[in-house]
Amino acid sequence: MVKETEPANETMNEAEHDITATTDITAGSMSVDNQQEDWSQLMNQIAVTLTAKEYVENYWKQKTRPDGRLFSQTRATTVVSVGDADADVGDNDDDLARRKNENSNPEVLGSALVTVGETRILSTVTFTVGQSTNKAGDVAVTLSFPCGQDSPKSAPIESYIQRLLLETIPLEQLSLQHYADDSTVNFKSSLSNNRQLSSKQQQRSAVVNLAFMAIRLQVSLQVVHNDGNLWDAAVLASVAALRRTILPALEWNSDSQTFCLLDKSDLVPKTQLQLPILPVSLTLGIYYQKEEDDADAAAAVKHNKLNWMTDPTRLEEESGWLTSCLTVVIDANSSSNDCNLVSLEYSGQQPLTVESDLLLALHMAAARAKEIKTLLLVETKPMAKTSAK
Amino acid sequence: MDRSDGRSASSLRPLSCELSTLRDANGSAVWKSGGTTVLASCHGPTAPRQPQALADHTSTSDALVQVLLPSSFRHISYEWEVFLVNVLTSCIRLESCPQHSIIQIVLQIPSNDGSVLAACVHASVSALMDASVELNYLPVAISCVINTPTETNNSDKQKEFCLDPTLVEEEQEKSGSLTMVVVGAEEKCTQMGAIHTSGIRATVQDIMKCWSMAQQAASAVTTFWRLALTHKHKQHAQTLFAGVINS
Repeated sequence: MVKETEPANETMNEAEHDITATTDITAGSMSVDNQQEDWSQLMNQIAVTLTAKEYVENYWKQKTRPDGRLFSQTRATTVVSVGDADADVGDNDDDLARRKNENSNPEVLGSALVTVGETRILSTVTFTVGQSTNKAGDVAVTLSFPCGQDSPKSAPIESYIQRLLLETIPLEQLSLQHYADDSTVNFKSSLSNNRQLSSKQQQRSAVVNLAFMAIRLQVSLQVVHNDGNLWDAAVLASVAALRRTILPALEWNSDSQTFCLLDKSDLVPKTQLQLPILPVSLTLGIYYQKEEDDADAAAAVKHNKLNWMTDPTRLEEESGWLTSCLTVVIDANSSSNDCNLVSLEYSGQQPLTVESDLLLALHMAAARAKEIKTLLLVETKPMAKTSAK
Repeated sequence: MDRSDGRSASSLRPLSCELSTLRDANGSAVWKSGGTTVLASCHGPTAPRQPQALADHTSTSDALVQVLLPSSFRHISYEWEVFLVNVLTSCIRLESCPQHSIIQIVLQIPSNDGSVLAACVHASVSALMDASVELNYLPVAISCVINTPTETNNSDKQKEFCLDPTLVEEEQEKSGSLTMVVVGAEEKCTQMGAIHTSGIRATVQDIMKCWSMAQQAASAVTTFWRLALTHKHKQHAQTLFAGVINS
């Protein structure tokens, strides 16, 4: 009988062992579940931090931005421009040498490096000579990115800035019609005296009409670093370079039937490019903050609060929250009481209330225009750096 | 202001809209505003033809709107394409379209007599309605020109504001044009859906004046759309089969 109980005890022990083993397995599975839950929570936290949309929204809900700015605050802006438009510079040997060293390329009329926050754009102004249909000059703009990045975005910006410059720069100053008035007699006399013109020269002399010759300014914008708001930086870079642009001193060579660039070391009268209108651009993104307290969707729409994100960074632009964008260009040379709008571009998913939303944006753009004008006036000497916030 | 066609400053030119003009498109429309004619065809929502279309798309899975303008407007087509894409994207109910699909609008401009961008918006919306694409609202585009008196003229002469300008009025010296999109024209509360300017030298008061004029004129366009769609449905109802069923 004792022998019979031993198997029972063994069975009991085995059962206890089984029970113990089961408990261990359960405990193990419970620990694994806890680990999985902790891991998923950790991944969610990482995802929230790394996802631009949630990352940016967390800051905006606290009425601040990832870089610490206020909603209506722009980034620090610096302008460094190089050109020959130094009216205060004399013509002694030191000044001539410095001027020559600063801009050693005679075909570059002016250049500027603009920094808006971390966005940097380098602009250079060159020129070509050709025939125009309306006896006035022309302006062409090209925007390039490093290593061909974001190239599809360049076309709308190029088109916009080119149109803006064509509307604001008096193109009559780029005409070379005065050469026709001065050299027409010499041009004709050279033809009559020299009967041994080559066929190409004869063809060229028949085609070239000095009255329609004009200068085309080529503004080349190179994005050094893109951290958002390329529109404002590109406009400022173009304007800063054009402000320091001296029109080329040309001479008509009747023998070669071409225009020749006079050496800058010659004391020729300098003609600065006139910019009666100083366009200053401000771009604002629209962020609609939905009120979560309203259960009714229609009521929630009515209570959506519009926030203007001035001068958005690349992180904010790519977050997906800025579904609408407004660009205002104001003439900084206009009086403060009657500021002149040069351009107003808005298209997006959220409509605006003109009486409140648009007026607020226009006031912010006027303040920005004053700030940029002060910055450009302070920046008088080459390689001088100033900043504005 | 005395206009060449005898209109007042706040009146629009005669409108004309013909729907379903193209058989191969899901929707099409010929929009005429005075001497300006725009032909729009709507294809979609369809699957994207090229994988690149998906790569260029944003990270969202919403449908994508594409607008193609004629090459004759190449000098300004990039800006107009972005403008039209944004306006149409905001008015189309994208959540009703299949994910990652594409709605393509192809525009042709046989005749240009001013206010072309506004006519492009109206033609595109008409083509979308003909294609039975669901819309959140009807965007009404109104063009306005601001004529600034020259220095040789009388200095007391104020600026002149004219709606729906012709090509001659747009190309006048010292004149700037605006194209404003009015949202909610059929309701009392109207908002600005988009704005595009060209060559303006305007103050804030000038913009408000133009907006006020555009708001008043926008209801005429929505009324015209209602008449055009009603006429189209009546024509479809008067078919041979409808006559057989009724008999």
